[in-house]
Amino acid sequence: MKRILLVEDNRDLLQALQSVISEYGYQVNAVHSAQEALKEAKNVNYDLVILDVFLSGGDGRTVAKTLRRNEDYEETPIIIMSAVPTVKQSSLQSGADAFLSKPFDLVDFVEKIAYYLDPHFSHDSSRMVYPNPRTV
Amino acid sequence: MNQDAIQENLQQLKASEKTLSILADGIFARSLGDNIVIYWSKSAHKLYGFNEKEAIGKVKFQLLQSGPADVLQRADEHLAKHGYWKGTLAHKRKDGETIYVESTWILSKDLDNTPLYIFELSRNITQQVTNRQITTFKDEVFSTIKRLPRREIVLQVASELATKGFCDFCVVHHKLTEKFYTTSDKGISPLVTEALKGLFSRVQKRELLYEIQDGVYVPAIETINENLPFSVPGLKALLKKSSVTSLIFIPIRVAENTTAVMIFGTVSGGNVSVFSGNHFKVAQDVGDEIASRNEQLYLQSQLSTERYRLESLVETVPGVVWEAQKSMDSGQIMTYISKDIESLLGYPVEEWLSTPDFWLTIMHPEDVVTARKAVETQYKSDKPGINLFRWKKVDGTFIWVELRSITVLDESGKLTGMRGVATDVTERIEKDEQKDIFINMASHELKTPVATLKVYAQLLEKKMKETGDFPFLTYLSKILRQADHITNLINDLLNVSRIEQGKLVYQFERIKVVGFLSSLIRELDLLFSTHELRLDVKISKNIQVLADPEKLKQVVVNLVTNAVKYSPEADCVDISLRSNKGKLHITIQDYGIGIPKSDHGKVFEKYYRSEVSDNGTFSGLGVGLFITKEIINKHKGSITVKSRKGAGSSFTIILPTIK
Repeated sequence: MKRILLVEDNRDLLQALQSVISEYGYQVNAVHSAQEALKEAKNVNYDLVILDVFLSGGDGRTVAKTLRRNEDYEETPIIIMSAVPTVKQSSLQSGADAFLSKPFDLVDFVEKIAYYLDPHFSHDSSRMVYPNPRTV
Repeated sequence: MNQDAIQENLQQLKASEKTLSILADGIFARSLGDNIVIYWSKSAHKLYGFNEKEAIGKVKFQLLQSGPADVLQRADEHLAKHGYWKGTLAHKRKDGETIYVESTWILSKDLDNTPLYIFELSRNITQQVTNRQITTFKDEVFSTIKRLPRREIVLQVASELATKGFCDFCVVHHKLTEKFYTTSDKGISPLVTEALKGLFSRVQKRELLYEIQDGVYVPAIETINENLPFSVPGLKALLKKSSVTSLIFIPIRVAENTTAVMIFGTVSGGNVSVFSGNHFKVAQDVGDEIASRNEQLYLQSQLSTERYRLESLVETVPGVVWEAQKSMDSGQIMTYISKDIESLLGYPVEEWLSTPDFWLTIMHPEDVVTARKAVETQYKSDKPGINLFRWKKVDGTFIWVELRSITVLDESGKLTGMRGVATDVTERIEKDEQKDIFINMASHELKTPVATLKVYAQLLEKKMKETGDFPFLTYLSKILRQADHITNLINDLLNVSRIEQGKLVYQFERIKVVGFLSSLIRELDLLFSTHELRLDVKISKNIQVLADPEKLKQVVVNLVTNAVKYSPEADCVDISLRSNKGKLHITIQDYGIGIPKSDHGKVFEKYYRSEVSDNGTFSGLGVGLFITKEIINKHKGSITVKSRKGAGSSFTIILPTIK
């Protein structure tokens, strides 16, 4: 089973997204701070990391940069999401593969996860989802 | 004293008069001791004007008013010691004119060496002496002209020429002040002043005096009427009465205008008696010299006024004014920078002016490449430029600087450098940064709850569909629609703020218009249950534009949403794609309430709301079309509206296509 690390400091949103991901058959660990995220990432080697940008006590982009320096996370897909559209550029520069602007449709959220984790996933171009291609 | 011996000797002298006249212009003899003229030749008569009768028996020194006294004393001593003397003396002729003579005195003796009398041979050297004197005047006066301030020159020169004996008096009539100055310490009759005042009062009203272009020379007062370019009745008589003998009028011309007239005069019994042509020439030269010096000083004062004006302007400009010259190796060297730069950054002006590209050496390393590029671009485009970068102060801290510049061309149109103003904008940038932080925070704080709300609503929607709880699904879709509406409002506010700060970031890419818009319209069509979106494509599938896909989507969504919103009675919106002369035309046509013609110019303004939207029927912030136009402008395109009240509206976006 694919393992996802979900980092979001709004606990209500974290809970909702956690249940959505579980329903799609992924194993999810939901944490709400940058420190917890880095600690968790050390313990378990996750297949996908989903990060919010503005976390209490940290920045999702810094987390992404730190992860990228870790050998185990060099190629792990990272999705960054934020309610601030202007951080898109810096998020992608920090090492994220994709950016998701909040609020989003659940369909887009689930599709983005599937794009990185499900080898059989076929992308529906009419839904206008533009995942950032892997740079590595 | 042996009178017979003297007479005998004089007879011999008279006999050789003809021979002696080759050596001298005037010959006479005077007695020893009392200096009484005892012999007066015809040539002496001719030279001094006195005839034999008038001269014989007179004391020679009184008759000829010989001088100067110190010379005479030395001459006497020399004569006593050596038996002769030779030197220059000034004598007065009968008509009052001073003549200069080279005088030779010889002590005549009899055979046993007894002194008998003195005979004098005089050669007239007046011409040489006056020429020499005049030249000396000229040299002295010219040096005076050079060292004086403009306003003092004319008067000082007039005074100097009069006291040194170039003339007997000099009057200056100044045009601007209409003042009448006399310079004379030779006891000139007040009548002279009166006469000249009369002249001025008679001619100045018509400014006749100022018409004398090259000066006027009146060698004898009898000829004044023929020499002056204007006639003043009674002037000749007046001048004659005041014993004026000759006059010279010299205009002082500055920048084509006569500003003053100098009048030099001689009086009978004065120092000079009558002006020669040489006097006139010297006076003209002096006038020219005064004029050219005046002009030079005037130009200097004009320049310094201009400079002062510029400098005071530079001082009041908020910021640092600078000018730089493009140097050979494509760098720049400052040729001017205002003193303010020292208090701003702490580096002395000299450092700015002596170090090539100094402005780059103190620039924040992250900004250097952009700044260099901006300068290169500006040199190519020749347009005014605005640059924003950080400069390091002497204390090591950085300030934000806005550099506005224009290129400088020389007379031949060749690019030589730049000039402009540098302003410290640190405070503004910091405020902008604070504003940025606030906007980002507000965006985050407002949207996160909406995002959470939306996710739960969608989860609920999914659950209801799974459990078959259909009756309440419509409630959820309304919740979701309102959540999207809030999101759009927040985005609009953010966009307006970013546009105002010039911070809306664009990421342009090639877009195939037909594919892009077809799928967008299909997606939108699903959203609007009340209206059918009809897309009419009359362009090739391969037509591409350079656009930011998200922004272009935002524009189309905005226009289609407006079209649906403002046509509540209609059931369709027409979207057409056309191309014309390399331009893409996207038209969105609705059949709704329309926009009154008087509002066509205002619809793209910020916070514009139609009158119908004010009554609460149509909600919104009135910024949608403002943002739309901004985005289209940034795509080098344009947007136009055609509409009539009650007859629907059509908005057309025109974008350049690429190959």
